[in-house]
Amino acid sequence: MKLLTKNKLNEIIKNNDIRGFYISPLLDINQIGEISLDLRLGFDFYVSVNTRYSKLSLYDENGVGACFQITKREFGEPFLLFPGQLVVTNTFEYIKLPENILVELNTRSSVNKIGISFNSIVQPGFTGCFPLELYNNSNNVIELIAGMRLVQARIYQLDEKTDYLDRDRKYFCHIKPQISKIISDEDNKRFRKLNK
Amino acid sequence: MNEIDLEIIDIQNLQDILKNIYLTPFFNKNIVKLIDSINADIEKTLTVETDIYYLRNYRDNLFLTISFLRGSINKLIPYEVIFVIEKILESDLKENLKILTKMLGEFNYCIYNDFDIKSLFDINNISEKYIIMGLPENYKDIPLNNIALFHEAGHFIERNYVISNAILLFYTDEVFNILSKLLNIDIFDYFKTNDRKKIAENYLKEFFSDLYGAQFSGKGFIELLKKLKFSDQGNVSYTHPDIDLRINVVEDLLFGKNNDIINIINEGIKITKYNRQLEYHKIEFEKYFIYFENFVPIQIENDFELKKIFEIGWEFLLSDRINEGDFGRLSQKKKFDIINNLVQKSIRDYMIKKQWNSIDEVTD
Repeated sequence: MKLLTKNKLNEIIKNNDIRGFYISPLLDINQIGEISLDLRLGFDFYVSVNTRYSKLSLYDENGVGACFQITKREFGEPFLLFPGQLVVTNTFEYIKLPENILVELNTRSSVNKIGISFNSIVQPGFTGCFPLELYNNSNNVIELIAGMRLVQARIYQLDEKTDYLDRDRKYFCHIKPQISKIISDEDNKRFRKLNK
Repeated sequence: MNEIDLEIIDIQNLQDILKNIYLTPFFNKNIVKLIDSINADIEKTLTVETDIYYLRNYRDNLFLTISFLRGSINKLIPYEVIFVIEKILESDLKENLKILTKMLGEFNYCIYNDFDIKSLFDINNISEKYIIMGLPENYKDIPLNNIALFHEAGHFIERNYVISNAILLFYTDEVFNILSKLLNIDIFDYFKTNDRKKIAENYLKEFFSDLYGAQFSGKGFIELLKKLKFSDQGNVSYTHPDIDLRINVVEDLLFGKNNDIINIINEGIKITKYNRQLEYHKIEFEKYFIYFENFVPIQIENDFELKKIFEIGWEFLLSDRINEGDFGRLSQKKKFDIINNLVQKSIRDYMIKKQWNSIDEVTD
């Protein structure tokens, strides 16, 4: 597995190959760093809210959805993230990964320092706006801006190809955040039967 | 307390609601100025007006205005679709405009042609034209389902340039002959009415709007009409021509066939100030399909491509390409959802890139 650096990243962005690695759009070439690519915050947010349900249950088909409320911002508009609040959102950039490219996502160092840290892996072959799950770890309300540079993507080239569409994928070609579909996990179905 | 007091209280209550809309953090800054102006007009009206009939009428207009404004600020409107329609109408009307949206609980698309906010209030400092459109809330995230709004935009253009009226004024006999020939039954006889002109005018309005909409949605518009046929159930209507006939007219436009209705409308347009003929501009679909086949948004380069994005989406859905390659591995529902997402993202990227590039340099 090889980490791609600036020259290779520049080449990828320049080619922007719809059959290979594709990004739509990259607003600023300065988003390309020495070993990573900065990605921007999107416009749609599923905000965790208190509900009349006592818990978020993985045994309840409506359990997860009921605990989130959708909201939207325009480009450049502020979005407030309250202490202890979870928000499910995604990147502004829509990215298609080739079947041999893996992405590691982390919040930018500057963002970590104000109290939001996030890390995730994006599988080879994934296509869509990258999902982001943000949590405010600080004691202050943090004002984010829709479209701001929020996360950095480290891009790794694998030795072998994978097949992303070898099964029905829950998260594919989405442009808006998706709330967790953990309830549809096969394991969960078994647990539900066991628990009956 | 008398009836004038009660009307004034009602208007004040509505004004409070208007102010609350204004104060919401999700407010759309584009219409802040409009709300400011309406508020100022309310203050003035409440100070000087004592005529009960005037106040009642004013209250009704304010009530409706609030419902339209509320629909435009809830952050749930399909911005991308509205952006495309604004572009289309702006280029046809040659003036800046803003579309206010009303989300409807029922399956209905409409344009409020008679409701001109600027003329209802004493507002002189707003330069944009405001147009109000309604669409079903259930379809807000399914852009390809919203092509009926192009038909509604057609109604606005037709009304603005008084096209059907002009056609009938100059080509009365020709229109009657064409309609009599095309309709299965003698529609004028059926209604036993002398108001032949009104029926013909209604039909011309619908044909115009269909053709207008089809210019931007292509074969997708035929699919829309087929859907309407199911609910129409072949009833003869005073306002709308037979759906099969409407489909034929649209098909003739898309496939470049000679059609008397299209010809007479285009002849009539020449005598109006609308300086554009209804015609179908073919595009090279292959150039765009390659994006969708690879599951990525189209890089829209200009307004012409922007206006055609819905047609490209529909054309791909209706072509064999939707079943080929990796697309063939997906369920029908997933295919439909993906193309809708890609259409929406293509428009959004174009909007944001334009906005981003319009900022020449960032200065503190």
